[in-house]
Amino acid sequence: MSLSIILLIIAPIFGIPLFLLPDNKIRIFSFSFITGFSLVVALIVLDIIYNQFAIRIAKGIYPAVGWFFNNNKELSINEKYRIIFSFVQILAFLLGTIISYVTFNTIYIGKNPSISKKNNQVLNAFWRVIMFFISYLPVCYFLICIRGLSSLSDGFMKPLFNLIYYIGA
Amino acid sequence: MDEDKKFYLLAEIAGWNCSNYSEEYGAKIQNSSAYRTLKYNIPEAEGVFTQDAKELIENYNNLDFNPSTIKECFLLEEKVNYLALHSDPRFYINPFSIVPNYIGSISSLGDLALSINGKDITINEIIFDDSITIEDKKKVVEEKVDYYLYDFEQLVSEAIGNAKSRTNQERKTQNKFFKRTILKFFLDIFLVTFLLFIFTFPNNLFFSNLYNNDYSKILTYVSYIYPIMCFITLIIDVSFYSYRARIYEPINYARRFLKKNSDLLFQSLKRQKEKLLDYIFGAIQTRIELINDLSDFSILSTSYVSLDKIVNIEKEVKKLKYRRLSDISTSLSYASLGVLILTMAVYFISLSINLVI
Amino acid sequence: MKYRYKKNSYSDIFQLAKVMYKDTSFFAKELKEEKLLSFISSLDKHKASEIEKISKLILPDDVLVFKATYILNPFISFRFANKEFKDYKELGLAMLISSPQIDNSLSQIVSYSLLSEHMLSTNYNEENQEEYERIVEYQKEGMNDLSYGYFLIAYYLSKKENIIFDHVEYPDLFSFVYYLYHSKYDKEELGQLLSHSAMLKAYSKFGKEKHKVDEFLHLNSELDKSEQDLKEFIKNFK
Repeated sequence: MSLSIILLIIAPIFGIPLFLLPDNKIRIFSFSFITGFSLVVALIVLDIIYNQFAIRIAKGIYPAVGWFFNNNKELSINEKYRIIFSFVQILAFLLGTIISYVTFNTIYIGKNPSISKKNNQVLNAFWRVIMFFISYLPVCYFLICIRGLSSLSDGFMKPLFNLIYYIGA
Repeated sequence: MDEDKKFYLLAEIAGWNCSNYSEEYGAKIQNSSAYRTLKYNIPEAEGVFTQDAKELIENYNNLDFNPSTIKECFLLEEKVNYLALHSDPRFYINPFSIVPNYIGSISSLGDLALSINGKDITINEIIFDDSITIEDKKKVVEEKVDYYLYDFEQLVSEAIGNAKSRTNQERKTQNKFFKRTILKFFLDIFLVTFLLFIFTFPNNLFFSNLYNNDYSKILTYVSYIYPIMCFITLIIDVSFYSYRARIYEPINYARRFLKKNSDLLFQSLKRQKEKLLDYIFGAIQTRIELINDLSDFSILSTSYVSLDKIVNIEKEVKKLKYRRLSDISTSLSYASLGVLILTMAVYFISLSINLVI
Repeated sequence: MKYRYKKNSYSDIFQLAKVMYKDTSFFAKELKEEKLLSFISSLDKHKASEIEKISKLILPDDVLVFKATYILNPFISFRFANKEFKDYKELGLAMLISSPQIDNSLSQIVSYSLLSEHMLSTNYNEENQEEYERIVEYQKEGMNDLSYGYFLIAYYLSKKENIIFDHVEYPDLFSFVYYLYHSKYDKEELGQLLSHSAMLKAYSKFGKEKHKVDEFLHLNSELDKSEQDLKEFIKNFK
């Protein structure tokens, strides 16, 4: 069992709704995930723009969660900070998605599901694909970033993982 | 009704016990031509979305053929006669809520029945009846069309679960489902969180046991069963709730739409009513028989809301596929909760006593 | 001038009026003959002219004689078809005794509105306005349904609250049914008779167990109506 295989195994959890959810719901989820996804991207961008942004955030939180890392002798302190920041990102993603979902579910009306099917098949397919990627990718990103915590091997996608987030030997 | 039963009714009212005379009468009513007519007409009424059809079917299903008194025999027979009469589509069809591909025993608006001066008469008969003035004809037709509109508006309100019309029981069921959904959501989050926890928290006991695969330890089993259980639960929950969202989308869309745009829908209903009145009044003025036009004024499916899909939701929810998925989802939630508790217990006990159990 | 009838000789119309009801077939003919008319005319031209008018109408003998009686003598007690009633209550009782059938002779009182005519003639209506109006109302009912009007008047006048059937008065419905059950009558015939009985319908307005009888009649009429409506619909549309 490796992380690559796990990422493939969890793909159906994000893929099944693409085939079952109605178009209006796909839109609502897409808008919600966009919010969460944007928050994750924003945090990444902030970290790029402001040096040590992630480290500073993680340092502030470390006293509360440091006990988690007490027995971990393999990770450096920066790596631990990175992992904490990944948790912050995934939390931002979840909260952003949930809050947006509640909002959009209330305000978005959509189109009559009985008559709009034939008109916008291409657009609907587009939104389904978007929804898949903006929900699946942040989760993959998170798992890739925290892979240092577990003793699972990276698997065949190791080069890709290292490209996204390199963990020292 | 047998004539002697009339005598026994008086006797019963006077205080005599005549229940033995009522015992077999229920079966007699079931064999009567009125009941046979009613039974024959019911299947057609089941596909019609009007309050009258709904009440007809409800009353038919509630008929109790075990009267214990003569009075009950009378009431039962009267009810059967009344229902048999009103089981004819002329009495319950609403031209606004007829399905576009309706095939039944009537095919025209002219066949619909109205009541004038205590007598039931069809619209075509009214058109050609010279004993009624044109004003009276128009008045009675307008009253009937107003009733059709009212009935349709009731159907809309009921179909979309209008808060005013929803019964306490319906609200309770809805709230129960909502609470269950929230609980399941938190359970799934907790399952995933704990899964992440056990595979990331630096617990040498856990990881060494995982690699050694000591099958005499419970921890070995739970460390394999738990992730599999999480995965299956998530797949099933995601599938069920996506499928349910698909089924309920017509009603959810209608509710969202009508919260802000109910005026638009009801205005289009009023326009349709005016069209129907113009059509029938035109036929009255020119003495033209109405034929093959029964579904021309149906607004069951408009560009705004598709009520025909909404009223079919109940059928979908009763189907085996939905019920099976719902049951599996619920059972899995309980099972995964059990596995979660067991895993947490084994994990934390092992951690605290520093020994794999 | 005198008028001879049987062994008696009458010199005034008031006395004559008191006996006319005893032989209505004779007096109905006489009222159209010159002999009696000229006698009346000699004493009261106006009354003679009134009688002449009514004698031209096609009326049963009892009715014609009744009308003539009260033209001649407006204030005498109710006398009709060889029967004299000292008060209205006695009339009511006499009407009721034939129950569940109506007395054909006395039914004419209802169909020709003779009772209200008598009340007007005797000025009874002036002090008993409500009673008079009720009688008028019941007579009107009698125009639609003679038996019902008949029994309404019978019960109203007699002030009876019990069922009277076959000359017997029953203290309550329970004993009435008991009698019927053990009587010679066929149950089906009884059912048919009672469900449409005008007597019971009138009893449901005045009787002491009127609510029970009302319930019985109501259940029957509703059932009949539902059967009728269904039959008519099937006939017209199928």
